[in-house]
Amino acid sequence: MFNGGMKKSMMKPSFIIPWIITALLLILAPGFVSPALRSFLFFLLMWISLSQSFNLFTGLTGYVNFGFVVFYGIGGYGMTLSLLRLNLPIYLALIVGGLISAVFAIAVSLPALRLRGAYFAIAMLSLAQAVFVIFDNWNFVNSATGYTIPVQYYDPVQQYYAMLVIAAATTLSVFLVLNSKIGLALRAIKQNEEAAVSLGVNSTLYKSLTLGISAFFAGLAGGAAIWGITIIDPPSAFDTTVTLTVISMTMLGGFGTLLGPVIGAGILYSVEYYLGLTYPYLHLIIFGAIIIATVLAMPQGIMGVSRNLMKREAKRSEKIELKVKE
Amino acid sequence: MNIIDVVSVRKVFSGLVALDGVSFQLNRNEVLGLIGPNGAGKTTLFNIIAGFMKPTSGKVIFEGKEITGKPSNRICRMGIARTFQIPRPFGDMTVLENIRVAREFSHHDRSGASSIDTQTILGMTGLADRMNVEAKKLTVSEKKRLEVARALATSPKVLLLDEIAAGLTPKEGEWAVNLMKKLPEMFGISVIWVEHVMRLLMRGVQRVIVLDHGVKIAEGKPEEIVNDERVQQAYLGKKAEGQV
Amino acid sequence: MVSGLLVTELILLGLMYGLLYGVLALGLNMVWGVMRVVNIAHGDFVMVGSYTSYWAYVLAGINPILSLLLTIPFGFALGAATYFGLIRRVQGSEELMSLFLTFGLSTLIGGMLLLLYSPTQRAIPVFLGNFRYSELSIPVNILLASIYAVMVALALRLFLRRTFWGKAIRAVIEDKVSAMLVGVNPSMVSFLTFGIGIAIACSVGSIVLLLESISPTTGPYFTLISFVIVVLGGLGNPAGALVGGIVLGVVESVSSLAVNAAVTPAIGFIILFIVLIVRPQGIMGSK
Repeated sequence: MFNGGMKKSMMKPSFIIPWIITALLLILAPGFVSPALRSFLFFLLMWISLSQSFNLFTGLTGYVNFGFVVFYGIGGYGMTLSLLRLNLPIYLALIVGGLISAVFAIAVSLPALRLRGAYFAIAMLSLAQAVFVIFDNWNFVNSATGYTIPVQYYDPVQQYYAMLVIAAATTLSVFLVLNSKIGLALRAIKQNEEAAVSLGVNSTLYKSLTLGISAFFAGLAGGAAIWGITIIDPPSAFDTTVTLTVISMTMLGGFGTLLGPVIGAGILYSVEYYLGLTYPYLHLIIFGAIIIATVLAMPQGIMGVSRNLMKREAKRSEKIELKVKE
Repeated sequence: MNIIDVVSVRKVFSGLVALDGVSFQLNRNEVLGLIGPNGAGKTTLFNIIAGFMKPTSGKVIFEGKEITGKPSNRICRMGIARTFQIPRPFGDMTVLENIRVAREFSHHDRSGASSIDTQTILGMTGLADRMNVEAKKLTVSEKKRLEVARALATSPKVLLLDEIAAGLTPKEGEWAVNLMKKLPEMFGISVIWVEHVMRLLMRGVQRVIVLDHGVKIAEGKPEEIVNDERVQQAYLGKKAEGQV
Repeated sequence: MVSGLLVTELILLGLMYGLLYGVLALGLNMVWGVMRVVNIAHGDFVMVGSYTSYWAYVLAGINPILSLLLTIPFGFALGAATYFGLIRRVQGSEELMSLFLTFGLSTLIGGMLLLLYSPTQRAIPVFLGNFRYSELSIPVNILLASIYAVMVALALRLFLRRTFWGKAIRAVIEDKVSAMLVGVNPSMVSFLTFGIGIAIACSVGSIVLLLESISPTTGPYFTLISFVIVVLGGLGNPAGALVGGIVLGVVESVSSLAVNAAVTPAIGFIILFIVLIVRPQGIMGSK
């Protein structure tokens, strides 16, 4: 399922320019869009951040983190507690949230990563459930009541930019990891873990590190999301639907690719947004159907399919060139 | 001067004794053959030396330091590399990338190991013209050679080769024998070679150890081993029982 | 002070719930063991059974126990259809694929049920009184539930040991290739296994309606419980599933004394997490 990082062909102007335009539009957006659209973009950027961080771990290692929402939730609570109890400035609180999430992830990963495949997936799923129930009954985090972020922190424009930066930073990090030594190690591990270890790769280190990075960005996004939503409580912070949405988005877009989560998030969030207005649960049915269809018909997702198409095109033009030479 | 010391290694798998107190040494710059009928425990021994398994009891000593039970990636970085009987290439990565992984992650808690450059490795394993081919597209024999190439890229002091000659053509077989001469002479690498293809092994090694049912039953020069009665019994006995 | 009577009742209740959970886990266990497919939608099929029985009660006044006559064959048919339509296609590929496929299926079923029935809890007022023995008082509903569970377990055991197809299923669990070599048709075995697994799930759903209020979102909870049990008891070990179920049921029940009732699911999950770490093959499994 894994496809490599960006190739040199992606550095051509014809490719970069649309992205620069999009980036400019996003940066200038709050100046000229309606609050509703700005809010839509805010959450779209959140889903992009979450999908990218999910993709970072699951796409590169092949381990499915069915408990992903736990990083979002812990980041959200970390931010909230830092803000309200420690009176940290908001940006610091966000980072603290991300860090707490990362530390938690690394601590949990050390035992959990010893499990393979389905066992890991289930362990993470049950972990998320356990954390939910614990938070629901834990006075330290206000149990089921949760917290409300007071009005003085409300600033939709700042929140928007924070999320934009987070989305960009997450995507950039995925790119950097893909092309770094970590990325190489992960690719080797995914291809054949035993062989990688026999050649000196410390697989536990790299997997834990990657989960930690994934959790950091998920926690950041979670903190920023709560800042915008202003309410946090266990059911919403640890909602399994978040994991499922992120999985659908990443699957649709293509695991292990840089642009996949962006595309998947774009499509599915738009679908959910418009459907959510009229039919409350239809999007679940659609997401479920999309996951099923993607697994059966295009497991590599949209990016994977387009990459295969590009390969086929390349081969075809090679053949044509050869024929011309003859 | 021995570079590896295997001391009374015992391995029991839920009641089955795979290795029963095996001891031997590997000398520096030596090519040691390890043979025995199927199920004798050869791969288990490799797994234990390379750190993939812990022995139930016994020790493995490398250059005077005990390495028993250390994780395999650490052992690789200390200087012991291994190949797998059934090749495990990184399929979607090219030959060059496969070798690159070995290089990047195997350095070095050690000094004095000669580093072999990639061009030489490619030349020695005959993969120079397949550099940019995805590993999954290689032939079986090329995959076996890739196993060796990757192991060499870790700049090992000791190489554990697991049946690299199985299924090779006679010409490819010659390559294996020549490899065994070059490794110690040119690169100071000591080798333990597990092999079933006797005619090749006997020509490539200086000393042979024979295992049967987890016990070392013979040790000596190739000529001695070939004529050893216990060894013949071990192999022929299996044949008589209907196993090969 | 906690009375011995209360503790005994709790233990018995836990035992009975545990049997029901255990039987549910048996279905999952079989599917996993035979087909190497991880069915994340297992619990959602339970809800399908629950709502089918609910519908039968509301429309025609059929008692949930009677509705078993409906949900068992319906469950089997549903399982067969799901197998032929979807599961079959991911059987050969990586485990990851079946994980995602059934995950999508779970979402789909949950969404459909939510659409049809909304998230509000529904219950039916079928209470059959209490069974009294000296000083103990156990609701008859749960007693019947556990009797049903035991019957299913026995029936399954008989099926697996005495019938041709049962033996074929066991053969495939042990060694698929050898089973094929002696002429067992793996497709038929998979189809039967999945059908039985879903039939069990749906029938447990009918029973659940007898015991508690239902909601479309509890599907994943049942899935998780089943997984906890299967992993605790050891994959591929049917006795382990029942033992694991009983252990979980009793632990949950008794712990309600010390801890807020809402926390008890977490206990199961924490146990699972720890067990998986310490002993990845489960309490009774083998590597």
